[in-house]
Amino acid sequence: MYVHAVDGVSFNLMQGEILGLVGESGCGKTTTGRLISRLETPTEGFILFEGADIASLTAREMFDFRRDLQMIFQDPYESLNPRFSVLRAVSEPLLIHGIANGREQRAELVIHALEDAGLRPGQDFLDRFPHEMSGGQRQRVAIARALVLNPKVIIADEPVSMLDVSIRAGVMNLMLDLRDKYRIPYVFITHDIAVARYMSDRIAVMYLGRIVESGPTEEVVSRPTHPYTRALLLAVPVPDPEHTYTQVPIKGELPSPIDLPSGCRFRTRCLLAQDICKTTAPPNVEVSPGHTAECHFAQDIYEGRLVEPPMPEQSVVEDIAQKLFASHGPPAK
Amino acid sequence: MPLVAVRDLRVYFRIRQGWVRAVDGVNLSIDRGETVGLVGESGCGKTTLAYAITQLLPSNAHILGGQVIWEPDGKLYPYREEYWKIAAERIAKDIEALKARLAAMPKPEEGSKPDAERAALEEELELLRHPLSVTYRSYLEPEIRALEAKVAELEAQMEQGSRGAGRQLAQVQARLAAARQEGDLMAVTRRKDGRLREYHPKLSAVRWAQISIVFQGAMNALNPVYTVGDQIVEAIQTHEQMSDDEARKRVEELYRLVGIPTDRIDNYPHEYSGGMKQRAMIAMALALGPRLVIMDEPTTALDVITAAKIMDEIRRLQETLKMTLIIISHDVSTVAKVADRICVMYAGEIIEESSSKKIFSQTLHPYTEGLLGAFPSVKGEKKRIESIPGSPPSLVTPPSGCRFHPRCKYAKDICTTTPPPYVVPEPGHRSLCHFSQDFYTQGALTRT
Repeated sequence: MYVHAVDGVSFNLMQGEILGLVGESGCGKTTTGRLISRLETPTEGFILFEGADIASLTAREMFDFRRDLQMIFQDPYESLNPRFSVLRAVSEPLLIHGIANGREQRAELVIHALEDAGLRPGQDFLDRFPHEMSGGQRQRVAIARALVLNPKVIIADEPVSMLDVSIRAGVMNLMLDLRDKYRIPYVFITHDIAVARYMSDRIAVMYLGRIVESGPTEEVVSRPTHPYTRALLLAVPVPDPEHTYTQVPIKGELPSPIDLPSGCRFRTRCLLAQDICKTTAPPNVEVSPGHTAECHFAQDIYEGRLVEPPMPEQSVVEDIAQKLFASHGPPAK
Repeated sequence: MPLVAVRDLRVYFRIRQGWVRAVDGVNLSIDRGETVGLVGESGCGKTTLAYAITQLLPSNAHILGGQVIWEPDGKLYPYREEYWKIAAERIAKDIEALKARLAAMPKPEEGSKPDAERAALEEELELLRHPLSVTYRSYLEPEIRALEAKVAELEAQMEQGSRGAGRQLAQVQARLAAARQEGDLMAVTRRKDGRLREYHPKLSAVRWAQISIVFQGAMNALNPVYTVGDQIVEAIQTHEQMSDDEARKRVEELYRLVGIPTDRIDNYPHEYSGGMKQRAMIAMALALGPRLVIMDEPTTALDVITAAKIMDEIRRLQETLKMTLIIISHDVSTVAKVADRICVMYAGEIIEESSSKKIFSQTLHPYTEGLLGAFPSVKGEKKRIESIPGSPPSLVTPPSGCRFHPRCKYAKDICTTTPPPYVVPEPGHRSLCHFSQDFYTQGALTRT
């Protein structure tokens, strides 16, 4: 048996671009990130980095490639060694790659990276240990560690989801500023489409190992075309008290990635599913320049000719409720 | 009438470095049928507050002040208010006297040994600032004695066959109960040093049967070696005399209520999806028909779509059962979907409380403003979000004056020295900030 974690995914990442990879847990977004960094080996297909397929790199080439590609992980509590001081943690990549001669030069590079990551003055942080810092500071150390090698690509896997709300915004803004400063492209992996909208130039929405919709961020957010993206956008809480929520147009639960539905993978949860969805895998339809969706009805949905029917009413539970609560006195109020 | 009222509650944790002031003087009352949202970052004391209400605190937690009044029929409140007022006036007088004595004392010299007398006075002062039931009772001694005499007198009259005495007696007894601060769950279980007893029959009658809690992280709250159904049956049978068959039928009903297929009752937790586990936790909390349900981060670890569905479910339950709910979350928007009222907590204090709409449209506290501005949205124009500089303070040595002042962009000198009072610019809206009245009249937060 195979888990089809990532199944036929294609995308490009341009210089200086941030690509937001969005999806629920188990959709394959983290695996995609790990494939790009060759922490996972693809079963089939290519990952081209500056024109060379990273799957066919020799050990020596691999070593150099890893210098150009850095990762930022979700949980800075776990991604930083508790016994390493900041200086040691951030200079580790320099030691591995034999950059900088001697302690002083290394410290200089580390301080520079720390200050880029917003830890100013960098000098003050060198001797601190992870437990002496707040979550936001720790994540900034993780960012500095990625930056210290001047990478050409950064893969950020849920870099803000473990951080507290008030700190999260700072880390996101820092990452945007760094992109503007160094033109480093990011693959920004997140489950939160609101965060993806804020961070990225392009969004790719994943469902069960496939990219079901992708396109320029504002276009995808304002004119979502794949039924899954539409559900995802309606499920996000909106910081506006006047906002009226509708039932999220999606049914059932995520199917197993071992035993995938035939035809379209989303059909078991889709309110618009027809017979064709059961038999034929949907084509990737380009609804507008650069905006594609993998759905048989993409064009109709995009142009507003097709909308989801309202969700079926929930079954009435009032009698059960009354019976249950009657034995303990009437419900409050 | 409030269903539950928290007054001046202080929950401190004893650690080596001193006291962690997790909940520091919180006042909150929740009416029946109302949903209150408790919002704040991690470490602000929201979960501690919830655990204090249900008395599920760890053993190093000390209750150093306040009351948690649980009185489902709410009959004593009119009298309570009256006696609280009387006691508060007397306490205020004593506080003034103590302060005067402290001021009269010679200033301790730098580096000298701590003055025992001074320390004792300071401690006494601190206790009076957050009175316990015992404190109230001792300040109402004359009233209590008078009421006791009155009860005895009326009882004697009843024996002689007086007609009006019976009716009067009930009222006087209610007054006496209110003056004695009956209904305070903390008073029943609190030990002398402030820690809580783990067991007390009065508490067991209330816990879960009347106040239940949906724990944070359903995936860890369920026992992996028992079927989910068995765990709910256990909760039911602990509190109610019920046969296995009856209890199982109750579980089936609960499953239908929260929307899990009933053929999943005999599955183990690992066979459930995250959303189903959360629903099962809600079913367990509802199992005894409680009057108050506390939901601690009910959607935090869930996927966005599942979270939205669980929130819809909660809203539906709220409508059909007219439940009284406390929802705890770090996300204001999530809570605003279901809550009537929102309390924002910071460093152990409720810093702003208002209706769910006003918290967005008429924010009065700089921290709330920062919290709201830190979330990106999928709706509307894309604008730059701002973080709140710095990080939440240590609760062992909280900042002087206003606890938010080191991170506040509106802070002035007064904020560093004087703890702010609650500003109540309109009924139902309070804010713990020196400048909230100005913000209210200006209609926005601006630096003056």
